[in-house]
Amino acid sequence: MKEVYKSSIRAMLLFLWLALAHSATAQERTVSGTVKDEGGNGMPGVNVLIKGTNIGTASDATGKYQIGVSSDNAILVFSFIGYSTQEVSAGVQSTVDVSMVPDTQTLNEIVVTGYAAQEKKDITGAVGVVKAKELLAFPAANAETLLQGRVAGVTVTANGDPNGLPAVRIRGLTSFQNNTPLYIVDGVPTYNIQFLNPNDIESMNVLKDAGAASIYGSRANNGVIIVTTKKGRAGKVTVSYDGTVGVQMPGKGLESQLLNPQEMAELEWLQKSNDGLPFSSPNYGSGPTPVLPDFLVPVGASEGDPSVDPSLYNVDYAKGPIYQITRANKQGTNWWDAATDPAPVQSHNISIAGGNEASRYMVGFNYYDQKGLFIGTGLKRYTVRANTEFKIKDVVRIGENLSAAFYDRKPLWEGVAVHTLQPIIPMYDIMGGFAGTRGSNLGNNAGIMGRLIPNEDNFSSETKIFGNVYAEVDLFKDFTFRSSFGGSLSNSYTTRFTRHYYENSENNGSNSLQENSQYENDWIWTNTLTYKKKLQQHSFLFVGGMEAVKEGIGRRLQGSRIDYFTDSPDYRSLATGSAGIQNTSTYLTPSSLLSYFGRLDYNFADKYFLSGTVRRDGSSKFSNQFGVFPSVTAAWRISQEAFMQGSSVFSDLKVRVGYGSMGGQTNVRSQNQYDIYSGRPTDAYYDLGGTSTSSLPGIWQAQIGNPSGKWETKETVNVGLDASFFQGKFDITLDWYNQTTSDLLFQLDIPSANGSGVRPYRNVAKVANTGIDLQIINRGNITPDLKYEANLTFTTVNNEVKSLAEGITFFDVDAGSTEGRIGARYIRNEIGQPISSYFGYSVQGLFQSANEVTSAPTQTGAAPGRFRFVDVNGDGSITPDDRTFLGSPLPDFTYGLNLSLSYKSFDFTIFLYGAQGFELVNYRKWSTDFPTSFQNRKSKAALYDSWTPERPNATTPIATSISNISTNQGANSYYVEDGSYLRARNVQLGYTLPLNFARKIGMESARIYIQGVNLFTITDYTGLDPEVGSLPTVNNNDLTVTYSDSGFGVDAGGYPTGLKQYILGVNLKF
Amino acid sequence: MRTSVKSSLITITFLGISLSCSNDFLDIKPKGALSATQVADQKGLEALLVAAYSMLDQVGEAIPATGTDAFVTGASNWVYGGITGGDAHKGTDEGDQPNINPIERYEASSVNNYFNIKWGVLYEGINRCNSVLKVLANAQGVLDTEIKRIGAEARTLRGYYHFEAKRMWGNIPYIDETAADPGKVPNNVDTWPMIEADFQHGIDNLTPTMPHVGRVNSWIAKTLLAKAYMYQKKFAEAKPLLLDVYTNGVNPKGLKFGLNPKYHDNFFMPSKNSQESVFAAQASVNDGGGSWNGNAGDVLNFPYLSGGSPAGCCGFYQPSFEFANSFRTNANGLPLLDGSYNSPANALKTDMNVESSASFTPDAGPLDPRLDWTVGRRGIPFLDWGPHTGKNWTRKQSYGGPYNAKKNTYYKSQSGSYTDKSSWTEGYTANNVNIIRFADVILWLAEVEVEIGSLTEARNYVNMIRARAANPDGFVMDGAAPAANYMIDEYPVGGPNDPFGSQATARVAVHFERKLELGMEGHRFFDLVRWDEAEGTLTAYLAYEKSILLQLQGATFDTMDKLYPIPQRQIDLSGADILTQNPGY
Repeated sequence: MKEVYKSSIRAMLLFLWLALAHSATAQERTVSGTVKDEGGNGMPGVNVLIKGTNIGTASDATGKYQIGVSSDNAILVFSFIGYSTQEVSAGVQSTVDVSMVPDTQTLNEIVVTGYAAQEKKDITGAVGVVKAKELLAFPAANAETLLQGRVAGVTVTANGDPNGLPAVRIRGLTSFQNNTPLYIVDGVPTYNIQFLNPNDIESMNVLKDAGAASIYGSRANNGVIIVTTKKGRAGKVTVSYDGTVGVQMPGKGLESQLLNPQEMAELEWLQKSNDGLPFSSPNYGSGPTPVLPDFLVPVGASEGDPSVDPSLYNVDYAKGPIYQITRANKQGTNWWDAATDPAPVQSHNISIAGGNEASRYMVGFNYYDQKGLFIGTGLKRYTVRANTEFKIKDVVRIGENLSAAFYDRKPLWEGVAVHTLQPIIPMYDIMGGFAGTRGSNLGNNAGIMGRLIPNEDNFSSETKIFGNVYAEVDLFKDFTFRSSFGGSLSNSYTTRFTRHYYENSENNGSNSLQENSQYENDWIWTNTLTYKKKLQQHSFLFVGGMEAVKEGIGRRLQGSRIDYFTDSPDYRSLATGSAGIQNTSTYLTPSSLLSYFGRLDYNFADKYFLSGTVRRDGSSKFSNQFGVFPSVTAAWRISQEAFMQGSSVFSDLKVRVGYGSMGGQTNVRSQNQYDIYSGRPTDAYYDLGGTSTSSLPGIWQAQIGNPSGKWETKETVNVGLDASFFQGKFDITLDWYNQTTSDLLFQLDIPSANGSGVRPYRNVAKVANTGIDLQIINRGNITPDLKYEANLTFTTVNNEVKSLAEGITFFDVDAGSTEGRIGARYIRNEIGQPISSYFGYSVQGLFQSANEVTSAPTQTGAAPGRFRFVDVNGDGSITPDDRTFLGSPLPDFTYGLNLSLSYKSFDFTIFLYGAQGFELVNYRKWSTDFPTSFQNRKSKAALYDSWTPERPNATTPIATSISNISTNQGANSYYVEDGSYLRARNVQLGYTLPLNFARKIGMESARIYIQGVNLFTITDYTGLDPEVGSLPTVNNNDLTVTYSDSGFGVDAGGYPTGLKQYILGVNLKF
Repeated sequence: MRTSVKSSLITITFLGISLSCSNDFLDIKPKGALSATQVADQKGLEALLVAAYSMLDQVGEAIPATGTDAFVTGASNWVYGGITGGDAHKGTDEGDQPNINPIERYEASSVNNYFNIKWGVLYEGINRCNSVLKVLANAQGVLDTEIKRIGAEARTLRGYYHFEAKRMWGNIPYIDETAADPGKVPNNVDTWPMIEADFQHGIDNLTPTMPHVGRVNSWIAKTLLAKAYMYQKKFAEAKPLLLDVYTNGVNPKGLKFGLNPKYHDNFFMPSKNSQESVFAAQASVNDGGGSWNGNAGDVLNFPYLSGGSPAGCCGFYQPSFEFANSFRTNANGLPLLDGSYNSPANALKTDMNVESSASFTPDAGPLDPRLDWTVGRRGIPFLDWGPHTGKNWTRKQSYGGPYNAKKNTYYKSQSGSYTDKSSWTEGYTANNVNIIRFADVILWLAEVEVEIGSLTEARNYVNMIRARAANPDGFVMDGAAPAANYMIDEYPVGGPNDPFGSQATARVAVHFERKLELGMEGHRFFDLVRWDEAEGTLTAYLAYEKSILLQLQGATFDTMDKLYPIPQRQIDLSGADILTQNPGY
């Protein structure tokens, strides 16, 4: 690496020299004028630039400007966001007045794609563009969430947990594991943009096909999202404040589907009666009808019982045996209400931007505070951004984009049993101690308050600095050299104390403290040379460059101790724990990437476009280090043809076609090629000396390497159409694509005879996705004052596993870790099926009689009232061979409809998002619908709709204590439900102060709005939320994120995403 | 400045960047890890060997599929030898660890993940032994004596892991250090000769004393070979080995093998690695290994009392009615070898369906004292945790029955010193898993004498075991008095109470003594299979047990159930042409 640094110094010296060597002189005169808006009012802040130079200014508060020009040939360019850019020849005039026209056509928009910026009309690949205004439509901790429904072909599964990450998937699932796209933020790559303040984002451009993305080479195959942050503009200083305050409502959970304490007792009696067991329970007595006890602890005690003596009460282990006294809550505790609270959310953002000819800047501050749904959880984030750029001698630009974010997280450390903790348990015992499952027959859950309340003292904090510095030099007339060095630095600290529980049926042995600290850094250095030339009708753009990346440089440190003298938060340090001393650290293996790339765009007369890109990437993750990823695209802008001129229908019509390949390496660990030996005490140490308290160090082969791994390759074909017609009233973008990923890296299992070391990632599978992305925009005026815009996105993806490793036709996945409970895996990934398909027995109905059991195919555990499965292969016997595919979590299509209306100063927006034609596994039913699945809270279905001879039409099996595949064991279609939904993601009503009034009070503009998020969801799904995705799992202890898309759609009780929020917001500009 | 100069500078810069750094820059070695070459010396070999030993507990955090489910595989074989042998039920609650339900009912299919995980840990043990042997072959600068010792330890352990797999599945692949692709070794070869050869290598190359008590020595290798012979009914080959061990055997620290004076010393942590411990999986806690070096395999097998379980959690491995009844003795202190212990008159009185709040008087009849060191039952002191309070110490009595496992549990006074308190349960203990106790050796000798020798000798061996059990110093005491009516005696010579008059009755007596002496230690199923008694005994067991417990109704034991199914997953991964499924699955 020494050589890289040397080279970098050489390059920097070169810039400086070039910059100083170049100079410009000119004679100047002044042109002035007024810029007006569509209403004839003076328009402030409009950029005025002399074309072909960097000389510019901005209009003042009354719309007036003046600028020096050096030639009569000078062309003035007037631009303002949301308005068409106008070019006016200055000629010999000294006054140039301009009326700006709102931009309904976005064709001239500059879009940043791979290492270059181009006008939207010139784009030949499949690119989705989202502007700042759309991104800020509703508040969210994560900018990715805001992409939902905005770009056809992009699916975003939101995450209701403020500390969670949404899952962004571009054009389906390519891989069984990590399908996260690559984000390029101001030229710096990352896979997680949680640190970004959404207010700082200027645009997010989604590169969907190889034509657009393959210049990012070996990391592009999940798609690339180019994020550009806001820059200052020459002109006066603008200060804006954007603020929201709101509240997220927890809703009612699933309380209405669940039993109250009396019903729980009745269900137990029903079950005993079905099983022919005597009516008897430590809690409910032994009469013909169950009677709720007065106390749960002491078990079954009644009022006045001598054991219910507060003087005996003790919940302090140090003072002797626990003696808890817990009164039964006969009315029932509403655990959803107890565990949740309306959660305030607020965001305050100030940004200051401005600049002049020589320098421009944007500084942003943001404070974001979102409480979680569950009490004591939440996220606070503070971000600062400073983007600046300086011009030196007209031909050199030096700048930086930098953001610093600090997070203060209070995650939900452990799941809470809001739907399965028995309602007879109160929140607190008679002395105010925590109540839980201590008692008898109260299940194996942990009490909820005893988890949530103490956890408020735990936290996880993180500081992340992300950004780049760059220099650009205009070398000759048409060449620009750019060098950018960027990266990120992150540091985190986590401290987590766990009480010594006393209130539960299963308590831990001691209190304990665990602390983690880590740092992780990445850097990237990019150098490009751009050549841009127009020769009559021929336009060329060439970009050539090289890039070096190093990622994952870091270490983690972790320690824990137990047996703290006190639970007091002030006492918690590793030094003060008395036993169980554990400490460990992890040394991350970084990965590096060295790349060379080129891009050539050519068009003739703005009609015929041809573009090619190629990238050669070398990665430290493989021994076959280098791969080459080319693409070629072409477009024909038919509307520019003579025969289309004067068409009253089309103002723009373009067809695009592209082919290319992209690489993938995100699914492979950096040390994958190596056999690794390791000596962790947990795996290889052994107490040879028989000491009972110490062990000798051992070393084992902890990883099996794959020295022959190589890149994943994704080939895509894309055919697209862009059309704008009826004078811009309609825009349509339609893309069809077919993409095949081969040599997919997957950690496929190998025979255990080869040892148990971590399995290598091997190039084993092939997956295909085809689909259509459609976007239709319709806009217009209903009356001169009433304007509307409807923006529909529509996405279909057909996913199919084409092949797996040799000899392997499927593999099963334990999604949601449910196997330990149901004894089976719900998910099968099989050739010919979509990724993550549900697999199990198909329920034909419930056995109605002993006769039916006898006449039906033989089935283990068959009995009246239990599941009867379909004998798929017709062999007269229900065996694992009768399992079949039961559905898929991948929707037939997803759609987003954004409808905006504006009437004078009022604006109204509604954004609907939906997914149609997919299934979910409602795993909660295992716990709530079967009395035999632990003694936890059960559903109304189990009591009122379970089979008995008197209820032959019941759909829920008989209440019994027998557990086998005919009752509660095994994956079957009983759990599978339609997940389709339509959700009102956002409804917003805004009012903009009249300009004159705003100015009177010192503002350039002011808008106030009210907003409702997730106001309604239409779905038949009976679980908490149909938006169940393959959400990344964030490890609260070390903040590492794991991804798996090979098994999802199993609703194992995650954080709900579709909670209602009510928000009040203001946008002020000074 | 002239353009040509600029151009060439740019070109040079680009070239410089691209040429200078590619190879070094992309060459990143794994961090915090060792390569194969770094472990190829004496120190590395010793560490690889320790890791091979560390699989004796059949648990490891990073072993795929065990992870948090260490209890699936533990060396105690509580699922594969205990539950299926009729010693116990899965216990606890029907919804917990449901994969054991079909195993208990002899209905488990080859896709049941329990078998796959067990296969995984055993072959990981084998793999670690082969790691040692592979490195050993190329090691530099290691003394020949050390090479000999290390190799012999590794091969003895390799034989043991194969032995464990052999008795589970019968048809197994034998993997040695020369296998090019272990996943492609078929299971169509009789592996007993290779297992015997590994043990023989240990006998020939190991010394009697070793630096650590936890290592294998030549005597352990001999005992293991004898055990392998017993499983093949090679009594003539086993006899001299067993006699040698019996007469001259010492543990790795030179302590002569013998019976402990008190039965319970074998399960009492402060006295582990005693003279009676021939071969054990060592367990340690608070050693920096999280809870993973404790007896993680038995972590679930403690009583379950909601809110404050004595000795841990979860209420698994609850002794069966039939097993507990077996401890009934007659007025002479002898077991009821005719099976009448299950008759209503003799069956052990239980608190089934009796609430803990209701009164209960324990059985007053004569009992073998080993019962109360093996089975936790109401009214009898549970180590130092006070008397077992019955139903509320079980998670679901109607499902698991009234008893709790006892041998693997810890004393209240041992909390923190012999247990790990840092995790969700205190059930990770320093309790070794007894793989072979000296009582085992004596009872094998009795078996051998019954089959090919002298019934008198057989009686003598069995009586040694019974005499120790009858030591009143070793009874469970309730205050100053024995906790129950313990009545145990040695078999008399001659007369109606002496079963050693005929080979057939002597065989019953010896087999029954193993059931009593080694109950709940994970041997029973494998013993029944090697005696060809599994079908008869387990069918009778099921008939009795299902008359009490609902969930066993309909369960049957078939011939195929003598071997467990080869994990389907392994067949899928290796190929059906490599691994052949056992008959019937």
